[in-house]
Amino acid sequence: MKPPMTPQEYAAAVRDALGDLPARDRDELLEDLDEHLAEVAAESGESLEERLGSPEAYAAELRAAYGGRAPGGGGVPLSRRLRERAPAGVRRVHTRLLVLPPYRQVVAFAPELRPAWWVLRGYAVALAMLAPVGDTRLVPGDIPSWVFTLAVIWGSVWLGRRSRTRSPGWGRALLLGANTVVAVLVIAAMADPPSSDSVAFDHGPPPVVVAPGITRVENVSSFSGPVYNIFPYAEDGTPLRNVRLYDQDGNPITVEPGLGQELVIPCNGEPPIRNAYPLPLRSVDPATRGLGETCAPVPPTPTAAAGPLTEPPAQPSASPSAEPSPEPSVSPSGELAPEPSVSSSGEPSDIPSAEPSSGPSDESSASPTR
Amino acid sequence: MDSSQLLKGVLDLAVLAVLAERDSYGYDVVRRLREAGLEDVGDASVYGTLRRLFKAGALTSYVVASDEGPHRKYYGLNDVGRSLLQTSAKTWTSFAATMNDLLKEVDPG
Repeated sequence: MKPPMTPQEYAAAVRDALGDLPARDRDELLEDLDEHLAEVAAESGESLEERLGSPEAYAAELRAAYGGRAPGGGGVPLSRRLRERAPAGVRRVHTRLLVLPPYRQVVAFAPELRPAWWVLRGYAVALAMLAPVGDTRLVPGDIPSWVFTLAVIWGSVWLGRRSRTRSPGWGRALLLGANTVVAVLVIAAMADPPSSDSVAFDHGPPPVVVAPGITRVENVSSFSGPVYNIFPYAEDGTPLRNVRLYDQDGNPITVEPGLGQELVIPCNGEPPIRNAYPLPLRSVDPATRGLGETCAPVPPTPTAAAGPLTEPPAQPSASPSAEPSPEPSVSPSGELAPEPSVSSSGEPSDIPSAEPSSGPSDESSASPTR
Repeated sequence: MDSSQLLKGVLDLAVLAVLAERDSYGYDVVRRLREAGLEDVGDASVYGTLRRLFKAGALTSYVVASDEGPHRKYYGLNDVGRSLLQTSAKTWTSFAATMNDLLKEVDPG
């Protein structure tokens, strides 16, 4: 038979049994246990174990009275504690918010919106799943996409109806998480619709917003690549020039010169207006490329008004009068001193007068040959 | 029904009531509760409850040296403890009235 425990031994055993508590909690709890046990021991001749039971049982009772923590191991598993506490916290917030009339109304009609949410989340999930396949719009593009979307919506509604009747704990947590993710997805999709600041026909790539207030035409046709110039014609087939294009908001519509193309900037005039079509484009001379400021002698001749500055390369038949007739004022008569040359080579002196039209006149016509 | 089950719910109130009468140290609280009729009250339960109420800020505590035996840590109510006692007592009174009402017709035999 063991000798009865002293208060110190008993307290130490209790402390051991509470070893899983955080040290601070335990110290707070057991601060004056020694004195207390000494008091109990002094009260009667019985041993502490006879009066109080085993130190382990005493520890369990202490634990229960102090914090309601269950004994053993690491106490209550974290997941269970969370499940028990998180709803309590949410309920508290909910109860407090109930004093606000708008919140009360939302709480009242939110359940009726549940089926709508099932449909919406199914739709959002379907679109999110279609996006990697290349369908990035807010509406499914073709029949298979529609079928797929409807199937996902059906699944979402089925899940919603089912989870109302039976819902295991982890399942509910999973559903809550999934719903939250989908809600974020829906809001993100709605908040960032395809930009209305662009003009795109057919199946062009997603439009690029260049700058606020400027609309850029990215792709008009999926067959011939990007659009880099526009050639307006009147009803009778007369090519128009200097036509300003604006979108529905009054923003200028611009295109980017294609690869190997650049805007012809007059040396002594205003830079061309970016939304006046057709744009004066020319192919970039690899020799002059990278020389910085390049300008072309495009004189503001009155005769230039007769035809377009450039000739549409793709539609020669459609331009009856668009012959690249060199402007008379430009064509040089003097052999030694042509216009301030663009090509910046020392050729004018070397080239005989036999081919006077090769230099400046070509430049002035700015033909967009590729 | 085991009365210790009932006691769990009202031990805070019982301890507060005892301390409202006069400040006490741990074992004294146990003894007074038992004298009042709560014979089943556990020593560890009372001790744990005292420590919890103290941690929650409802009690003051001070150590009194004694010539014979160990130092004693006395507990007493502060304002928080007094208001806690008041609201808890109110809750209990209405709860007990409801229960008495329910059990009016029952003959305990």
